Amino acid sequence: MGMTKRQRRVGVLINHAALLLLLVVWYGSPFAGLSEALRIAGALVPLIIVGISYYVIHLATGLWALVHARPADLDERQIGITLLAARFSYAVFSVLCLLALFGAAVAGNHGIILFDAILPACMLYLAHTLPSSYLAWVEKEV
Amino acid sequence: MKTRKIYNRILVLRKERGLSRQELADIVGVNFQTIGYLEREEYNPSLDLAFRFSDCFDLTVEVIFSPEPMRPLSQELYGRREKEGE
Repeated sequence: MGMTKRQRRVGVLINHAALLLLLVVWYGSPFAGLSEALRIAGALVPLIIVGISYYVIHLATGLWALVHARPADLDERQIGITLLAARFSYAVFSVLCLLALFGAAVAGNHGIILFDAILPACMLYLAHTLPSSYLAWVEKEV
Repeated sequence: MKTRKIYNRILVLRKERGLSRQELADIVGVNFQTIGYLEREEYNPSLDLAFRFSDCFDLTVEVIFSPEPMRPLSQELYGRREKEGE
């Protein structure tokens, strides 16, 4: 899919904003006094946006395949950019993991259990999409 | 280390030989987008890749790549002839 750098950047922003919104709705709804049904319905909307933007930005552009390809299948420029993407993602992801652990520890001290399946699932998604998000953001041609 | 820009004549040589980006990419063993990056001088090739271009175009590496901006081939040839005439 031919997308301009600007379109890709907008897509990356939408994808990550929707992921953040999903977490806010999921973990914020009990404090807002929402029922379980409203919580699930509220989380479903950003989840669908994440799914669509994931397809457009990561799958249709071929970036997902690029960052998950074996080095033997890539040329020297592609190896170079995927290594840069992995390096950037490692730095960001490790900080986010530590922040999540810190947040869980602070919440735990106040009797709030933050960890359920949603946060690790979002972190897993982020770990796999950060490298291609980085490439979608910086690369001139994909 | 900050790398310097390497200039090249890949675009001219490819067009001269009537090759598409994909065809040239297949010959030298890279992705076609890498040819685009090289032609726009946004990527410096490795020595191995530079020699593959040299083999492909049957020219020496210094004719294809240079750390200085490239003069047009015609101008270079004209300058060489003038030197030989002196």
